[in-house]
Amino acid sequence: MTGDKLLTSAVIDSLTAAVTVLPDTCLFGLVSFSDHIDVWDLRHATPVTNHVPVYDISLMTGVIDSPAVDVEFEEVLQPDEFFVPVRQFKANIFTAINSLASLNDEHLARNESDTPKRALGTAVKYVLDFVTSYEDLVNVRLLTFTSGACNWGLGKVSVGQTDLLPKTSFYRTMVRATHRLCPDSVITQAEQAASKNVAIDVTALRRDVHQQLGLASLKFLCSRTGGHLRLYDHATVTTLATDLYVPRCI
Amino acid sequence: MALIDHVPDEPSLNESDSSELESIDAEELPVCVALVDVTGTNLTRVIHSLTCK
Repeated sequence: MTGDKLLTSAVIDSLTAAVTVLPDTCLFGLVSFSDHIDVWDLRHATPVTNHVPVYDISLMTGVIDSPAVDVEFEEVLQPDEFFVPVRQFKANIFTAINSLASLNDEHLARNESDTPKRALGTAVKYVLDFVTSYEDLVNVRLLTFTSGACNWGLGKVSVGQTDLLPKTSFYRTMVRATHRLCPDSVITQAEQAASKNVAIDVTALRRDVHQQLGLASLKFLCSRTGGHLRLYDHATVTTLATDLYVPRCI
Repeated sequence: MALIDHVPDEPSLNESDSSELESIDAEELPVCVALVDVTGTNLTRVIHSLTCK
């Protein structure tokens, strides 16, 4: 969210709207990312996060598909700990979502001396490997919000003069899967998701029309899984929550 | 060696919540995972400070 209050507020509102229209029987989980990944434990009234470091292995080895996370999701939280039923834990979910807003600090973001690191590709892969490794999870929607191009870990997108052509093949072409069901197979991120009925929505928010987000690379996550790719900026972001407030989220 | 840090002193689940979780049959249930970018926000700093004590 890069500290932008308007965009942050829109994400909070849209997530709240999305959870509101989820059926009571739905299971919900929350993961946030920046230069690391935080897996949220929503069973507690006060949000509890589990910190998972993300390494940019390519800087050291030059191998683009080297694991960027050396801890399995299950080591952080088991499925019955990560997923909470909406009906019983809706209040906890809303508290966690709202905590994103209360901790936002636009001044901090504006004064960042270094470019913030965004491990979007690693986070997507981390969640996908987890949810696709369980046969029981067959109806999954991954709501992804990003406010910049991935520049850390797997799936980094180099920002050039145009955002029309894919900058990385990470989201489209072959990557080595590491999940337990097919440890040696080679499939795409989108194939991995679609094979388990995981639909991926990517909502991209940009500060201005000149900011590049790598959508040409990310679009395959949506177009090949039945998800939606949405792009908003300051002028259009006010409609985000109502766009998601549709009982078709699942 | 990766770090997995848990915020201490959090309230534990009460018995009713635990029984609810044990009774969940995930098969065929709809599942929603929200993956949110918090890059550049204060959330990153706060979580870092909590987990790196």
